[in-house]
Amino acid sequence: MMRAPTLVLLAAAATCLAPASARAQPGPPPGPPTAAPSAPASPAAPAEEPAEAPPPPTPVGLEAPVLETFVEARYPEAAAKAGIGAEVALEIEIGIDGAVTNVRVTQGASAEFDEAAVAAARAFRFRPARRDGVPVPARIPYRYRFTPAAPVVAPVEAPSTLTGVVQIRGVERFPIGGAKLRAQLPDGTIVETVADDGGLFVLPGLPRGTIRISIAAKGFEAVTLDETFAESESREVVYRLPVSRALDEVLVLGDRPDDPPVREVTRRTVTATELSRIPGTGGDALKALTSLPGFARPPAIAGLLIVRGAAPEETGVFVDGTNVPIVYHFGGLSSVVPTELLDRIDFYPSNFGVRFGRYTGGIVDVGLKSPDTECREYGKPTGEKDCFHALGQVDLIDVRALVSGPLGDDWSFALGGRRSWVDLWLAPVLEGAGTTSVTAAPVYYDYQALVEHRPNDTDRLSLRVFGSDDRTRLVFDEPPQAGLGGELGLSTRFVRAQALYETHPHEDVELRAMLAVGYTGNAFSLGNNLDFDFQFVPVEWRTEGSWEVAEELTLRVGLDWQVIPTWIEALAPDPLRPGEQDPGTLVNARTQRQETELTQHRPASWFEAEVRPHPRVLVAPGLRLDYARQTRDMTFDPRIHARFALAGPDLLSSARTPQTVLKAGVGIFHQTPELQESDAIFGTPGVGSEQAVHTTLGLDQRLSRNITVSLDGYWKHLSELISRTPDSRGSFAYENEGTGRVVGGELLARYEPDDLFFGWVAYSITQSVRDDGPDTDDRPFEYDQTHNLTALASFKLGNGWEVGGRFRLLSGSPYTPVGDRVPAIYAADGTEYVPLSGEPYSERLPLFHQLDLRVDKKWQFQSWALSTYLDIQNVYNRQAREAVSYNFDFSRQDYQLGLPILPSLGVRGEL
Amino acid sequence: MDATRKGATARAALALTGALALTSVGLLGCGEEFAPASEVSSLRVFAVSKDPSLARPGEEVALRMLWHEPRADRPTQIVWLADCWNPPGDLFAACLSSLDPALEQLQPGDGRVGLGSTFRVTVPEDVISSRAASADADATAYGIGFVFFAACAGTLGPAEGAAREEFPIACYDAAGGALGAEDFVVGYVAVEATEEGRNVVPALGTFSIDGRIIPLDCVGDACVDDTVVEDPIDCAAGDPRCVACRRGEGEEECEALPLVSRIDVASIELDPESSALQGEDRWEQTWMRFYADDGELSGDIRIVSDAQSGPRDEVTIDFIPPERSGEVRLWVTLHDNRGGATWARFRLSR
Repeated sequence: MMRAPTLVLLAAAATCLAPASARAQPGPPPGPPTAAPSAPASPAAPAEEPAEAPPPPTPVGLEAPVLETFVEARYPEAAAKAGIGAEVALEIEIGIDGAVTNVRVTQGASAEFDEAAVAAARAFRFRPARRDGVPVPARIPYRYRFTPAAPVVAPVEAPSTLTGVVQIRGVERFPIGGAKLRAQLPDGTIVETVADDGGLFVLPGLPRGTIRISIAAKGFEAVTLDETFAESESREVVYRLPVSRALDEVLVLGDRPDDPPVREVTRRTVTATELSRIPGTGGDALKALTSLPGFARPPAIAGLLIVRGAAPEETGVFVDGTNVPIVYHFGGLSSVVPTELLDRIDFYPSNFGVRFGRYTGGIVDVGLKSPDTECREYGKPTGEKDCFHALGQVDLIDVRALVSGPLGDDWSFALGGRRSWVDLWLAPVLEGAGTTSVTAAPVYYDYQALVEHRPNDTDRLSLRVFGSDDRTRLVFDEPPQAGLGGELGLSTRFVRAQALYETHPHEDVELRAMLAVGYTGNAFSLGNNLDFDFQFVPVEWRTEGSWEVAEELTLRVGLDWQVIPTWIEALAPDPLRPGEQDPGTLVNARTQRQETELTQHRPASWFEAEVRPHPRVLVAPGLRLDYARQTRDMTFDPRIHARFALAGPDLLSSARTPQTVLKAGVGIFHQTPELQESDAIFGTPGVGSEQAVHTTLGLDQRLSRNITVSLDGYWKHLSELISRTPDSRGSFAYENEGTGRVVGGELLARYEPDDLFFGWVAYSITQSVRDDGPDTDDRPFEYDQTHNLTALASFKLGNGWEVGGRFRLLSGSPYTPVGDRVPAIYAADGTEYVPLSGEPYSERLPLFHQLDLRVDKKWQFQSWALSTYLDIQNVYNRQAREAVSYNFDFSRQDYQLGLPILPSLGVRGEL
Repeated sequence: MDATRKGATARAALALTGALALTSVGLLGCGEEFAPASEVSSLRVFAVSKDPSLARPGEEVALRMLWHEPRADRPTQIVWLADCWNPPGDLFAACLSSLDPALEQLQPGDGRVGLGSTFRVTVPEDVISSRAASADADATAYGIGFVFFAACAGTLGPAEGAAREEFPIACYDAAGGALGAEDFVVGYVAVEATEEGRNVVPALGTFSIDGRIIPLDCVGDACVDDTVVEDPIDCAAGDPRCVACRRGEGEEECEALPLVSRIDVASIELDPESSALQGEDRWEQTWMRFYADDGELSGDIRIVSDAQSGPRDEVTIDFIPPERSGEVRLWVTLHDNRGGATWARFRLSR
């Protein structure tokens, strides 16, 4: 049996052919020790052995080529039978594309061996050498060793030592503490060690020969590679593990424990393990987000994101930087991006960085994961990367499917789709109820297609198409209100074609570009009274660059450009503003029509510096400049964030040891008016942007490896809010006269997931008020939620079983009561009573509390898994008071009740 | 609304639809079962007719109220207040503060205040021209005013301590106590005017109960003021207004009887304004309201003409006779969304 030929790959900086090699340029300070040329970065290399001469020092700023595709040479038959080994010394020239351009024998063995070695070497593929990040041609010495099948017994000799550091791939200088290293010696003996909090490890006493090293860490893909030692060698290496793509291990929210420190003030970490198993959410990560502090519970099944006392439309939702109009299908049944395709969710409740703008509330930026091609057996990665996967799931609401796999070298794909099947059972039920004829029951579907090219560890080209479609049509036999007759039609659909390119032209430079073209259509009609048809073709372009000038300074700059051809047909009465008196029945409402075409231009640019004057201090000032052509409004948004490690490890450390971090931020944010507010028909041309000043101060405290406590206090001052007041012509005009403030605090105490448990307790206290103009008083904001307490936990019981529970206790939403003396007035034309409002939002619904439970069971087979869950909402059947309902003349009132106990069963198969 | 914030409306519409669907299937429930609007057990104002229903500037409009107070021993006072034209945003609520001076005058005859079931109001000549022109050149120019009314099963008087934005009149009992919604109905009606404006008031046809055409006590203006002489119902003589209480096996409640209302389809028009705005034919929306002082109706509203699908020539609602025998009075009102209203009243005997 023939052993794989051993590879000797020397650091070959001295032999680089590039003219640039002659230049002496100052480079970055030397980082941690790295392996003689990059063995950890090329785990496919079957083995390596040092050159006879020690490698020459690597010139500053130069990276040696790394063998990525090794081709085994044909062993000369006669020599193999005779058990004859040989060694052929070669000189290989490598082009800037990594291909071998020439092979020369510098010390041959025999014609047969030489010919076989040259033929194999010509087929090698390298990651090219780089100078200052730019590929350059190189020439390297290479020794091809032919070893006969008979085992070679290593002579007794002085042992070698392997030392090094385990880091995150693609992120410089961020170690993975607690990584497990397992070394299989040539005689089969196993030696194990664990990296310390700084990622450092030592494996002493290693014999001569090839040793198989396996490195594993929770949340990262395992890497296995071979190290070949000569006698008494002392080698220092850097092993870089990629972040895991497996669903259970994907870190999806905010910054990961081992990620670089975030610049934003709020720092939270929640894994997909948690988000996909939070009771009451049906496994939907985006729905589970609302269990975090900062989110208010929206009105029943409203499916709105209410963040830190802001209105839903003040929080933007993005998919990898592309704005999407909705985050949830009908009433929050499920999110428009399935959890299985989520790579991360960045949630910024306020004080977000200058990369984002045009919103005064928060930002949710969802990242799609790369197609899953990792091979697994019994759910564990094997290290291979060329496997296809399929997933199918069905529950009471929808069915979904997802396939992914490789598409040749460096390319991969994923296709996903989901369709609700509510229509199959809802239509008969609605018709059975006898009040409504359903011509098209609510249906939603979404779809995703991804093709991705990863030529190396750091560059990525991702082409995506994703979209969503919700539609329904109802016909009322018995209208709920006069004037609400006819058909109710609704459709909301969007599609985005997105190209995302990420590259690192230099180790200190990162570029990211995104171009998206899409279509959004919103249509809503209700009899004669309301008819909206909005169509948009948004073109969005983002380009971002990051340059780590020095260890203490990183600069970032970006463009964020939106061009949105828009077609609008609207037939509607004047919209009602919060706090205004009910205008009466639709019968009396004079409709107005607007048909227009326009193109919205919204260029923006931003600049940010990340300054680290000390490992314990991070300060990130930034400036964003926005222009909206529609309103001819130019805004400047300066923002600054800072973090300071008061105790424990410094900010660059990822060690999960006790640490205290003080954080603060302040910034200005603007949001342009909605089109109906600046429109000539429905609004007031010239109305300007709304402004918010966010201020946050907080403390992050890690108490132990798994327990963290985060405390945030924030204050938002809102000004130039758009309000509506009577104008001199007897009509209404929109003006920027409103003000408001939001003051709040958030506490998050959590136990980060380990093998058995995860959970957290989150508490938010908020006061959000608005003042609609100089002649009005402060009033509670309609989405104000004073107290919000969420406690959840999940236990792994073993054998594939997991149980969890979530309990929520929170203040009722404010509502506007009817008047005391005359609660309502009879609109004789509409034959309905119209409530006469009391003080706006002066009363609250009762406390909301609910317990949800979830049980998961997973059967793991060698190549596939079957799982099922039972998710029970409102276990003790406490129907929440979701709204106030009245009798026909508003003289009597009661509460509208929320969902009763609601079990949901889902089954899922994964291949 | 722009593309980056269009999510607001989209999300709200999705939420509305989701809530509507789930409410329909009972996943969202109401607490207490309120008495339906069709159940007449206290002072009620059913409808106000306008003649003409769509006026021209300078024209006089006659308002007539259909109301009912089941307690015959209590006199009912009705007051009309009219002095508000083209309020900001065409919002009735913007008129409330302007009612105050009208109250102080309470002198019927000056065109701003009236007493009784009918009232006449004159549309100002400049009701259209005084408005700011619409930015939509295709929109029909119009003017609008609001006439408020109050019906009181007691004594009308100024509302003590009412804020400027509140309705300035209250209803008091003999002891001076303020009466509530069961004895005091406050309402308003919009008087609209266009340069061409005319609207054909939808017309009722025949009514039948359980397949038998029934005679009506009154139709339209004849029902106003409750002065109709009601003929006796002689069940022995086979009066079609007599209904029996049939019970199915094991049922406690009487069987429902179909009450079929026919409509004069020719009186239902295309809505020229909506058609112009929508760019296609749209019908005026027309609906019927049903009320009964005993027994039970299976609903209180039925669509007669849908904007898109057009008129129906009849609608059906179920009537469940009461347990006890006696006469039941029913009111049916027919409305279109361009100001037209008419009604009929009849009795059934159990």
